[in-house]
Amino acid sequence: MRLWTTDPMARLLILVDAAALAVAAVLAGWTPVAVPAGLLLAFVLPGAALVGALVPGRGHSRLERCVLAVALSLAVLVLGGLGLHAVGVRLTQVVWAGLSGGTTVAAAVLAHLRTFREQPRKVERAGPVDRGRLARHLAPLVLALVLLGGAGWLSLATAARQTSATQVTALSIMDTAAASVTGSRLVTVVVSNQEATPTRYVLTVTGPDGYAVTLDLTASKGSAWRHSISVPTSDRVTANLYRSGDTTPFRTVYLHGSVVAQ
Amino acid sequence: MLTAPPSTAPPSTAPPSTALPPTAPRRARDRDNFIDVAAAAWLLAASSFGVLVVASGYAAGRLGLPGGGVLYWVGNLLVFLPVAARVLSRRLRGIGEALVLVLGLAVNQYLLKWAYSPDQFRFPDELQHWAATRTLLHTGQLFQANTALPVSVHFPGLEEMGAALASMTGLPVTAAGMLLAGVLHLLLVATLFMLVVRTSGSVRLAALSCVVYATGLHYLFFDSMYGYQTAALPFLLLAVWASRALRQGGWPVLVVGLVAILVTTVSHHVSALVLVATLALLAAAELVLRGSNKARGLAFAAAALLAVAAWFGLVAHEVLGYLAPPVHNMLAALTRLATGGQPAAATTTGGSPLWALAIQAASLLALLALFLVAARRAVRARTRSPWRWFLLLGALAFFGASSVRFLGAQGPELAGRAATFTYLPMSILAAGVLLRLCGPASSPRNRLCGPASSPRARLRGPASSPRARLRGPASSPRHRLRGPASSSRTRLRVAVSASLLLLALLMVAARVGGWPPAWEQLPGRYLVSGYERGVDPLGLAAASWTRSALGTGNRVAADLNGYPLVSTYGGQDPVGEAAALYDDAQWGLSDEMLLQDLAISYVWVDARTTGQVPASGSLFPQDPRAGQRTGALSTSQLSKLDQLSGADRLYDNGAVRIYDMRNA
Repeated sequence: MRLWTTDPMARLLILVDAAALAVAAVLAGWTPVAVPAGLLLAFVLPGAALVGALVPGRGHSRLERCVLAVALSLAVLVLGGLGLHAVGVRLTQVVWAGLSGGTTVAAAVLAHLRTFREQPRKVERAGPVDRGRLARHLAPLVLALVLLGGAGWLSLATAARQTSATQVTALSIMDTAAASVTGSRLVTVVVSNQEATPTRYVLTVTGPDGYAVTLDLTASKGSAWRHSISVPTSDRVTANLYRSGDTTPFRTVYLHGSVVAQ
Repeated sequence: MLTAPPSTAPPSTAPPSTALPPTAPRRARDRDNFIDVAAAAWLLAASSFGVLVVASGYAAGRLGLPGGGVLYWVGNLLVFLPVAARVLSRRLRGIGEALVLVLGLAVNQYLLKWAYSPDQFRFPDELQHWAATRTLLHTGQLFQANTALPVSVHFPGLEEMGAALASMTGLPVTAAGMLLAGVLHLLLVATLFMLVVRTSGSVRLAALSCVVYATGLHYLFFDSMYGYQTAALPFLLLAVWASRALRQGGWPVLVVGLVAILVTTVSHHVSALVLVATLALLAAAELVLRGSNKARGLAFAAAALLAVAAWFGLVAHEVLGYLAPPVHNMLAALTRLATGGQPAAATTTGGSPLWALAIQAASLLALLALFLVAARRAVRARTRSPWRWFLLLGALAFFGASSVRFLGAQGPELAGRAATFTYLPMSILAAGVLLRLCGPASSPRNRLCGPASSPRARLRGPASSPRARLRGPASSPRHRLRGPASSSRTRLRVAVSASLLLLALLMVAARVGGWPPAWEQLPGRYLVSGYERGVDPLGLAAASWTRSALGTGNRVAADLNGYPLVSTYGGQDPVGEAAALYDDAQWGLSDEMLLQDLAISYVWVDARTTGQVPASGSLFPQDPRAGQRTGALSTSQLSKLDQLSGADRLYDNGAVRIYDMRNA
C-alpha cells in the first residue's frame, strides 16, 4: 500500500491504524518505540487527520497541508489539554496519548465521511529512479548530516567535560529535632561528594564548653555521607570539613544556639 | 501535490495567490521542482560545515582555548551566506529548493543555539519554563504556581506541548523541550514562508523574507528557545495567514484561524496583543483601501480581540500588572527625554563596544534605506493593496521600536523583544526591495510556475507591464541603447553582491546586538552575573539542595545567577531586590527591616562575587547600582553574615553558601 493515498478508505485505515499503534507503543513505554510513536502523536497524526477533515479537497498546497498538520497537532495538545483540565481530568501520559490518538481517529472518520463518495484520483506514477540523480541529492545531504553529527558530538563532549571539571563537595547541617530539656539537640550533617575518586575527609564538630567531635569519613563519587550528632543547644555549633592532611577547613557550616523546647 | 503558485517573480506587485486549476503537466513540473534540490543540498552541506565551525568555537570557549571568537564569526557567516546567496540568485529552482534552503537554514541556526548549551537549559527564560513543565508533568494539573515566572502560569501552551511530548515519548523534559523548541522554530519559518507565498505568490520573495527575518535581533536565541513566545509565534503567523486565505479557503480556514487565535492567546501575552493589533490593522487597511470584504476581516479581528480580552479578563488578570512596569518605565524615559532630562543609562546586559554600536547603526540605516525605497514605490504606484500598506506600517513600527533601545535601562531589551514582531513586516518589505534589485528569476521552470501563469498576475506581471518592460534588463530599450547583455549581467552580479553584503551586515548586527551579549558569545568558565555562563554545577547543587533540605516556596534572597536557579531547580520563591543585604559593609537596622519587609527566610551568597566584576553590569535582578558596578564585592560585605547572631550557615559547597535568616 502506498504511504499516502487519495483513496478515502485507505486513508482512514492508515490513520486509524497508525494512531492505534502509536498509542499502544506509547503506553508500552519501551523507549525505542515510544519515542517515534510519541513524536508522531505530538507532531503529525492528529493534525494530518484534521487537515483531511477540514480541507479534504484541493485548494491548498502541499506546503500548507504539511504546516497545518504540525500546527494543528500541537493545537490539539494545547486546546485539548485545557478542555480536559476544565472538566477535571488529570493530564497524564494515558490522557495525552488518548487525546492525540482519539482526535486522530475522530478526525479521520470525519474526513472519511466528507470524502467517501469521492473516487480516488489518478496519481501519476513516478518514473524509474535515476540512480545518478539520487546520488547527487543524497551525497551532500549525507555530508551535511555527518557535519551536523560532528558538531553535535563536539558540543556534547566538551559540555560534559566542562561540567565534570567542576567537582562539587558540599557540607550541610540541619536541625533534626527540636532542642530537648537535657540541653542537647540532634543535628544531621551531610557531606555530598562529586570528586572523581573516593576522597577521605575529617569532620570536626565543635561547640560551647569544649564540645568537640571528630569523625573520619570516606565519600565516594556521587554519594552522600550522612550522620546525626547530638550537640549542645546553648551556643553556636560549627562543623568543619577538612580534606585529609589539610589544616584549614575545606567547608564550614554552623547553627546558632536554639531555644530549649518546653 | 502543489497547487499554490510557486514563483520567483518580482515581489510585491503580484496579487494574492489563488488555487490554480491543476493540470497534469503542471503537476509534473511542480513535482520536478519539488525534488530537484541537488544545488540546495550542496549549499546546505556548506552551511552545515559552518555549524561545525561554530561548534568548534564554542568548544574552544569551553576548554579555554584561543581562537574561539574567530571560529564563531567565520562559522556564522558560513551558515548564513551560502543560503542567502542562492536565494538572492536568479537561479533558484522553484519551491522545492527554496523550502529546502530556508528550512535547512532554520535547522542549522537552531543547532547553533542548541550547541551553545547542548546538555541542559541554561538560559533563564528556558529554566523558568523547564520548571513549569516539570510541575505539570508531576502534578498533571495546569495553572500551578511558578515562582520563577508567575505570569506564565496563565499561559500554559508551551508547558502543555512540552509535558505531552515528554510524557508520550518518555524523554526527559530537557530533551523534549529542546526538540519541541526546534520544531516550533521550524514551524515559524515554514509558516512565514507559507504566508508570503499566499500574499505575494512569489516563492523567491518568501524564501528571501525568511532569510532576512533570520537576521532579527532575537531570532537565533530568544525566538527559538524553550519559552512561551516560541510557542505562540507560529500560531500568530498562522492566524495572519488565515486572515489572508479566508476569501479562498472558506469556513475550514476560518476554523484554522480561530484555533490559531486561541492557541496564541493561551500561550503568550505579548504575542496575543500583537495578534489583535495586527489583525485590526489589516482589517482597517482593508476597510479604508478596498471597502470590500470588510465584514470578514473585521469579524476575524473582533474574534481575536474577544478571545484575548476574555482570557486576560477571566484567567490572566495578572498580566496587566506584569506588563505595566516596563511600559511605565519606557514612558517615564520618554518624558525625561522630552523635558530635556538624561535618560537612564544603566543597562542590564552590559554596555556594547563602539564598533558593535556602529554596526548596529549601519544596519538600521540600511534597513531604513530599504524601507524608504519600498515606501516611495508604494506611494508612486498609488498602491491600494491593504497588505502592502500593512507591511509599510509594520515596518514603521519596527523603526519606532528600534528607537526604544535608547530609552531607559530596559530599552535595549524591549527593543529586541519588540523586533521579534516588528521585524516580520520589515523582513518582507526588505526582501521585496532586494529581489527587485537582483532582477527576476532566470530559471524557465520558475517563470513557468510563477504568478505570470495566474490571470491576474499576467495582467500585472513584469512582462506585460509597460513600466516593467521599460525597466527589464533584456527587453528594455534603454538597456539596449547602453550596451551588450554582458553589462546587464555585470550589473545584476553587482546588485546580488551588494544585497549579499547587506544581508551579511544585518546578520552580523543581529549577532552583536542580540543575545547572548558579546561578553558571553561563547560558552566558557563561570561568570558572575553571567546569565547562561552563570549556570554551573556548584549553583545547580546548591539550588537542588534547597529543594531537598528546605522544601519549596521559601523566600530566598539571591544574586543574578542564583535567582533563576533557586526558583527553578530549588522551587523557592526568589527575592531579587535585596541588593542592600549584600552591599552594606556592616549589618544594620536597615538590613533587618529589609529582611522583614521582603519576608526573607534564607540568603544565597556566592563567594565568587568577591572575585569578579559582574559581567552584565548588574549583580541582582533589581539592582539600584546596575551599570555602575565597577568592582567586585568585598569579602567583608559577604562575611558580615558570619558574625551575625542568629544567622545559620546551613550549606557550603565552597562557592555558594545558604544562610538561614529566620532568627537573625
